[in-house]
Amino acid sequence: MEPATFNLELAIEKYIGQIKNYGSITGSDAAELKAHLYDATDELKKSRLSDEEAFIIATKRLGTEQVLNHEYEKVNTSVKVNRIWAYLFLGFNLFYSFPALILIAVGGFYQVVYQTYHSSNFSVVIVTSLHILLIALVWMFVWHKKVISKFIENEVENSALRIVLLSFTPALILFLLPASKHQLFTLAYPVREFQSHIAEFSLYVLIMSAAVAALSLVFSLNKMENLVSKSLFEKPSILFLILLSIVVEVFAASTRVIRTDNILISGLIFGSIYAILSFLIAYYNKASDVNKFLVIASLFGLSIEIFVGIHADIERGDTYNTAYFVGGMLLGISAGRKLGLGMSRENITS
Amino acid sequence: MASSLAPIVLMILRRQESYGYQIIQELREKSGNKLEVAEGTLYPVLKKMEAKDWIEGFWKKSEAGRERKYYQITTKGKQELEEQYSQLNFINELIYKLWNLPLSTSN
Repeated sequence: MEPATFNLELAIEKYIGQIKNYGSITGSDAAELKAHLYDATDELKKSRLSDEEAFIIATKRLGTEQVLNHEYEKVNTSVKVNRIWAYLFLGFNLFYSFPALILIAVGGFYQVVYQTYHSSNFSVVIVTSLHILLIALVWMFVWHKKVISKFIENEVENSALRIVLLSFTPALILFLLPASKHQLFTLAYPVREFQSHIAEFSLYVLIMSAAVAALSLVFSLNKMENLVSKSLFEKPSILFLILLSIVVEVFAASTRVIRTDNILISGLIFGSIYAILSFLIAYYNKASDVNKFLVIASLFGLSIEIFVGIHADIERGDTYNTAYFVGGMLLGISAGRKLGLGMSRENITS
Repeated sequence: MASSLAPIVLMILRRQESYGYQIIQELREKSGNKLEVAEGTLYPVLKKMEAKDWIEGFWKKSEAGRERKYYQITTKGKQELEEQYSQLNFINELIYKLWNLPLSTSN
């Protein structure tokens, strides 16, 4: 008995669709394979097989999707080449045009908020919330990188032209905006109009988030695992540590916009950023490697703090800020190290 | 497997134009059902041969009204077949000779 639900045409359509999803066959190849399945099932049905039985045998003889795609891939190199170009265009738009448009939109947003609410507390709340929202978006993007890349892959396989053209929309808008060129470069300035350290600092956090997100995406390229802090910090590459050290130093230095009346507290806030870094390195690595990694990851910051800090102290005259910041940094590093090592040991024993 | 299919396909197309399914049927029949190959892998071979201008493909409606891609051999394909045929013959003879040499009994 043949189930009434089996529809040969639909089944063939679906089967070829699956092969096509691999992306190594062209529309004409698909049509040819479809014609083959129709011929084969017709032939099989002559020996009194049902539609479904004929379909099963015909597809079995045709070969699995993997085998077919492997063979077609050797022939259809142009399909592959075109796909690479599609990804290049998409990459440009996703990582340049789209962020550029967002930056301009943020700049425009500042302007509107400033013109309406000036540098009031309310506008600080709005602007800071926007920054927090964008930070969340950046990390959501990294977190869901698998879903996003899967989506893009699907789109490229099925309708590459459409997604590539669509991805040019931000570039087109950028092109049409008359003032876009200078707004792009003076964007960091307008946030100061609100005269709020919180608003300014949250913008720095946003920028650093984007930098760390980009770093983590780049350095997870040759890693098999999902992107989690473990895959980045476990046995890190030296290059990663050096780049990270620059980002962390810039970020730690930007905490200075949070004005506290007490230099000691400023030093501690500064150090806390290094504590996080130190914790992550210590937590994910063997105790014997931790010191080496920590030195690499803090060398840049330490030298900047000492040289630039002393220079600034001399220029200002009677201040000893460097001592507080370097002290905070060293304290942060050793605290983070101790905590990280302690917690990872606990994990092993438990 | 794929590359050894090419001369055989050319030999089939030398006699008459044909389409993928029919070529496979002929292969199956002439080999006495011994040719164990995923049928679908013939199509990439046909495509490669088309790119090399050995055969030419064109779409034609079958009696049932469905479109099929037919192939016919080109002049270049005929030359290629002759070359490959004499090469295969040469190899074949060589294999035959070597196979029939007496086994060494020196040790």
